[in-house]
Amino acid sequence: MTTNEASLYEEQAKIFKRLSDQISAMLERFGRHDSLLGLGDYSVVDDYGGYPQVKISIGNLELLQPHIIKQLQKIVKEFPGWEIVIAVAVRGHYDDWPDMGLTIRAREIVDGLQRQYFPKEFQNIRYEGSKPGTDRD
Amino acid sequence: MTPFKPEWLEHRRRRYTRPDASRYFRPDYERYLRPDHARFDGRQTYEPKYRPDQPYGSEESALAAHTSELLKLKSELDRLLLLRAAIRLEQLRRKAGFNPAQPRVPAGNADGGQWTNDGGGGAAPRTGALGAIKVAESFNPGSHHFVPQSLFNKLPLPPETRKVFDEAKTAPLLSERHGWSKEHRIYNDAITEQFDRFMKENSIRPEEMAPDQARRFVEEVKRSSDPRIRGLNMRIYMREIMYWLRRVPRGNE
Repeated sequence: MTTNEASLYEEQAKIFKRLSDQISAMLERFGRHDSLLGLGDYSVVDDYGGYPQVKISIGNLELLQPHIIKQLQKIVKEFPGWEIVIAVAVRGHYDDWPDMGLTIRAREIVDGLQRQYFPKEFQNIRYEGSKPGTDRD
Repeated sequence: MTPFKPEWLEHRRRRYTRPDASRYFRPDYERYLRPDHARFDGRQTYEPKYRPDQPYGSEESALAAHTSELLKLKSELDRLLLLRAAIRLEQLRRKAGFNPAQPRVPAGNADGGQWTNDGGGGAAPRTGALGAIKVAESFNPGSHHFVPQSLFNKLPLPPETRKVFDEAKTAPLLSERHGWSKEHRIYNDAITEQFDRFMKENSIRPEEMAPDQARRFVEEVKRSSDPRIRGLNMRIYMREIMYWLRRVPRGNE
């Protein structure tokens, strides 16, 4: 890693921290973060991995409601080039549900939710401006 | 040499190729063929490495083949040794708090060459493949924490204990693009269970947890045989190693 790359990395890590702090503050209004004292509704991965994205693991499907996703998109719009990745990880379904989730970017939402696994009340969730896809899109 | 008779090949070609097949080829089709394409269409003879009319194990050919193989292996081994040394160097640098960018007092002064916090003026530090990772030690996000920060952030831990968890992390991560995998939450789940067990076995409350106890817990996490914990940690290590393997030049490059 050259000095330039190192300073860019440091800069990106700072942006990551700002973005993940804003996401955490927003989600706190709707659920409880996992902690060592017990699992909550979601967790924000707080380790910057060298890629402009923040990952959230969601264990409570209520957090997939369109108005919450819209607010996350509003946050990420302030961070050009960054994205929020939401992985659905519901306790009790780690093994029998496939990997699925959403990728939220400023101008689009990649929707990879496999709703057939969800309880009925969550099967009709739709996101404005979304397109179907995978986590590689 | 191709194992098929030319007459038979010609018969097959005529049978399965329409007479005006060339109409369907673009005039510059050869641009899209690999240079050695003739190897695959049966028109070029195949030269076996060991010809049947020569003794298979003749000393010269065997020696040349062995030498070539040995050099390739040596080259690969050197590359891996270099990589290991570079990683070790980086670990030592981080442990010692060494900052390659820290200025030194210029030569000619009484304390020339010594580290300084002032402007210094010495030559710019040399940087190698891993030599200039310049992420402040107290700056947290760019590493994998063995105990995720978000899990202990809101615990009423003494500051010294919190610091132990804060510092239990890998070198900065450089390669990870997250997908929709559940691995992080499964990891959190396992860490939470292990923490609960640890606290109960040692009759500790979070607000009383001593730094040494936190260190013991971190060691347990690092050495955990729980596949949910070991799995994620190993994947992170492997991704980082693969990242560096792709970046560090090979011995013969």
